[in-house]
Amino acid sequence: MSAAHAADTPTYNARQLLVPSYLTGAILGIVGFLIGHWYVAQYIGVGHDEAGPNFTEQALVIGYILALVGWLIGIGAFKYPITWLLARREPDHEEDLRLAGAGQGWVRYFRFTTDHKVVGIQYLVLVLIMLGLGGLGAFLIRSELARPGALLYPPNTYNTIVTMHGMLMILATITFFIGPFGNFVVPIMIGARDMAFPRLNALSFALLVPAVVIFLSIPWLGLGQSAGTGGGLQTGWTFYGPIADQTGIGATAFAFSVLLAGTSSILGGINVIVTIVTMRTRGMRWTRLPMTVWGIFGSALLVAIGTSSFTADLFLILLDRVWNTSFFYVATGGNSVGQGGGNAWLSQNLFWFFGHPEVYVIVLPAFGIVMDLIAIFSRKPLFGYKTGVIGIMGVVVLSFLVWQHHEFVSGWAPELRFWYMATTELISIPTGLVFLVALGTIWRGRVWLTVPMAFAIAFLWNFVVGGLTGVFLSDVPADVQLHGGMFVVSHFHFTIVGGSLMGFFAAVYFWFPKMTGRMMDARLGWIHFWLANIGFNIAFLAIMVAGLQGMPRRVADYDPVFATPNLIASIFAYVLIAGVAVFFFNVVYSWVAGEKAAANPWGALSLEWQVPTPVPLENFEQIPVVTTGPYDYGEPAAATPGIEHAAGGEVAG
Amino acid sequence: MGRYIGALITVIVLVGIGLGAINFLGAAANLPPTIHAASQGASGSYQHVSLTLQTYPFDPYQDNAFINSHVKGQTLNREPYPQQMGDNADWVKYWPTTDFVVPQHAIVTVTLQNYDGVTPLLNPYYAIPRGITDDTGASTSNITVDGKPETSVDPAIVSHTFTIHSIPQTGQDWLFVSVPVTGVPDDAPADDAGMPTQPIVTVFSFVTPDRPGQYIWQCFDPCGSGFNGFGGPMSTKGYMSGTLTVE
Amino acid sequence: MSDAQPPTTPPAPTVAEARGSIRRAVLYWAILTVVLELAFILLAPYLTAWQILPPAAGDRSDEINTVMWLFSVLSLPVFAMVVVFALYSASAWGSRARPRAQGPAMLVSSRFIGWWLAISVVLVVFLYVYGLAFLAQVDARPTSNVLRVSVNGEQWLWNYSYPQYGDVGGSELWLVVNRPTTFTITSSDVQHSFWIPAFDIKQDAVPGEPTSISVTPKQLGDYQVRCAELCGIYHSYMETPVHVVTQDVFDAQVANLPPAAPPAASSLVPIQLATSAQAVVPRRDTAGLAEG
Repeated sequence: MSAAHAADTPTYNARQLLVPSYLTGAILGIVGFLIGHWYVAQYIGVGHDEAGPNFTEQALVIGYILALVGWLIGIGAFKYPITWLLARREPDHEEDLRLAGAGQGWVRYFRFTTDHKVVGIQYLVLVLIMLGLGGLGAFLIRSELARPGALLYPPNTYNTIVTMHGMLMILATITFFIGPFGNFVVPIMIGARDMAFPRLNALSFALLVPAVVIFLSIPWLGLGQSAGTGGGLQTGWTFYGPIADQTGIGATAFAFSVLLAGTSSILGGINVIVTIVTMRTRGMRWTRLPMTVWGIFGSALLVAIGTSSFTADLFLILLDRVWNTSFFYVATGGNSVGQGGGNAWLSQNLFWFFGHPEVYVIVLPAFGIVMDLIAIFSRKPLFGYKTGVIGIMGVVVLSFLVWQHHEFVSGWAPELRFWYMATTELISIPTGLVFLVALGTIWRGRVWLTVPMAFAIAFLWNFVVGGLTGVFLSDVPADVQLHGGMFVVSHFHFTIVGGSLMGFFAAVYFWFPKMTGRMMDARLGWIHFWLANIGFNIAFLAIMVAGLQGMPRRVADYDPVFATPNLIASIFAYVLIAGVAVFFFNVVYSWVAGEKAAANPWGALSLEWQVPTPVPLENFEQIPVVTTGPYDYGEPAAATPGIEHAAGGEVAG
Repeated sequence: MGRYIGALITVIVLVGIGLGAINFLGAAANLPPTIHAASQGASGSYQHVSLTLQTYPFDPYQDNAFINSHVKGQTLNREPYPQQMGDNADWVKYWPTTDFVVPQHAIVTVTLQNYDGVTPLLNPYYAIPRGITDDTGASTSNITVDGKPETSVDPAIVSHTFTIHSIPQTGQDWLFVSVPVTGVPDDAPADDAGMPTQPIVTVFSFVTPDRPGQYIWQCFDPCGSGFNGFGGPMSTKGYMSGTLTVE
Repeated sequence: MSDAQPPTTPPAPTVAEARGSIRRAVLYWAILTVVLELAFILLAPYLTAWQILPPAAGDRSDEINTVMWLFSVLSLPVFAMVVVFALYSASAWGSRARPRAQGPAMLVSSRFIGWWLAISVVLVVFLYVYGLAFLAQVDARPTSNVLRVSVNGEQWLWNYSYPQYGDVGGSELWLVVNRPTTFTITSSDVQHSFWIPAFDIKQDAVPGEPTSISVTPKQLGDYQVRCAELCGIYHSYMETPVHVVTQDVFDAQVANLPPAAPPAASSLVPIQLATSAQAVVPRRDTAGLAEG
């Protein structure tokens, strides 16, 4: 990690290097798990009583809770409350800097460090790992579906892979803007020295690490059963009520880990909201925020409100599974002894009240970043600043009013469909405004075709396909045919992979020099760009055809009439995966041996490019006063009513 | 220094991911072997084959008394009695395997020896035998339970079902066979480990299609764990479900 | 400006140049739109024959295909606009070299936004009203000469029974051509989704909450029922055939079907089943073995 500050000479011995650190965190976490698991198994109950609480799963959950406590102790999360809260005084400035990792060298990336830049880098690395593993899942799925027939794995293993691919990618994509960029870039962009709640910030990352570790353990769970045959998840990432109550012990781990990740997202979201509302420097008016900040702000609003509904859903499922409540148990006889009265639609509603805003959580920052990059690389002011903001905030408001469109064929409240069809189609209007701004900004620009700019343009292309296929699904009669089929899979991959993931790639190529001090290799970047976009577009157009043909989603095996589009999709999915592999190689290679980056390699005007690289511990020597907007490019033009547009000027600092 | 640590971590992560994936998929593919039905000669224009299957509430190799009295020196489907298989010793399972191969245009006579107790059916639809024939290939509504013909089994005393259904192959012949398997009563004699000493034997026949094809079979009785008893062995291949290949 | 290379004065684009580029881009947009539309409109009638669309065998299939056709026709110009304006800008003014000049500071006028919004609203309102017109048909339930079918989804098979024909049933679905059919759909365990792609109908099977949907088959033939909601390991095998036949063939088939359930035992209500289930729980517990 080369972003070490010059004044950051290591002054630690071996003990300070190791305690606290992720190593001690892992050790204490394992110890905590063993104690919790052993205590429940030994003293509370043994075995599985069909009519009573399920002790094997209770032991697992109690073990996880103690593991979490052990982990937090081990990485030093309780240093602040113990050292200062108990002493009833505030830490002084130097002690604060110590908490933020001053003078600790690279080890500060492996402990509870409050500096927003350290947290941003930690998030970036973790998110890349999650994306890589999710991509491995995509590879396994497309390998199975290349030809009809159950080729490679038994169907229970296939369902486990589908579920883990879905949820891991959702966790990664929810995090991949708010985490790395919301933490590293946003505070510098708004002229702050750190996030509003630095310790909460470190905590939100510290919760995500055990969540991912527990999540990745799912295939091996099953107590006394060997890999692959024991736990397993038959639910899909939607984790609907009754089937989540039924599937193996892996589902308990899934619910617990996603609960942790959801909590982490909520904390991170609240932190971002408060930071943007309260920490803007003097002169950084709402109308001078870069669009990236607006996008991440909208996304954080959605996370903070929407995720709570999903965590509630997961909590109810945990209660159903572990303590034998019956929120989703429906009385149909059989083994559900003494239970019933639950409702399967409850799970769908709790899930989709989060699930639909969640896709906008993923895409709003990409809207902001794409508008930002297009302005910067076209050397033009945004075509309409307030238009873009209205677009983003319009999506924020509308996205909470549309979730019933996931219930169009569920039989729940069919009389409401006319209303949700209206709100769903309305959401295309603010989205259209974002496209208006992006296209108007690139028009007649001095377009600098860098790799991030190429990804920003690819975002426009791919996302418009995702948006237009969404119109088909918003229409109830067409949705009755297309719902639950491969057409939906194609639609949301066009929005999330073609849209948000391309936005994420653009953001990584763009801010990598600031975050690591090195440029990413442009030649590898172009190879990545072409492989990823050609592979993606053909693969998912083929999947769209399979959907129109009537192929259901999440199937391990299919009728041979769907064979041709699936074979094409698998081949080009491999091309996409090869492109992403080039990206991962590029990240590692450039981080280690890339060309050293200047402080402002792109000639951008926003604040984060005005500070030196690597960014000093407190970002700014003096807090800057902002006198101009971030888009003051361009030949002087007549002032336009409604747009704040100060004529040129240096950023004071 | 930093660059070597970075390279080392990358290599460790990649190797770990690779080993993890191989371990997971390799173990998942470790399924019981396939068996061929034993030939019994011809019956009219049909070949006649037989299959003997057993259903155990748990792995019989956990129960030494049972092995000594029932397993040692015995054969099943003209093969030596199979060894322990599968990872979940306490899961209910079909024995000796769950993947069968039968010839096309044949009468298959299945003998099911059930050692498991009763779990009432969720859907009484499966209490009636469907799609079965007699020894000559003529359609019938009777199965034989412990030597007596039955046209249906009370859903309250069913233990499992043996239900074959088609998979989505356009143009493949439709095959649907469903037979209820009567459970051993609770008060029947059992050894110390809880394994009944005498099974309940269900015998039935069905006719295979005239073309090769892939079919699956499963149990429709909620004999597993979790909500409605369809978790655990019911949701894992190799226990209460499998494939039937017609060749 | 903090740009590393201070901008030099670019040759100011004249008004004529600007008008020329917008005229060219609009022309490309028009050409691409016409090409895409022509290709789509010419190929659309063959989609069913090429099996890209399922056979239109239900009474609403043609309408739904028309909806999708119209949406496609309306989508293509929007797609062409984004692609043409983005790619035209990138190719006309793009360069891999760092730009030394800056673009013109164009800002959108409120009149432009007004037009943009007006067109978006008109499109959305049109799509909405058009969808509403067909929504009524989705919800319509026939009243005369109705064939009633009870559908039960279970892990992992559909089974059917005919209440009007003495509650006989099976795992193949037999329907009568041109006879309105109402399905009452339920599930005995988790959620499934009853989907007949050829009839363009889909309705979830929800445990404890019966749902319904109606269709009139219009073509004789064999089709597939699929499950469209992940329901466990054999979700992909939860398919059964649908045979659309004449009334005579249907009557003959139904006469041969066995009852859906044995008469005496089916009177057991679920809660009694649950009680007897409790009685047999010790089956495995006496063995001292935990169940996975």
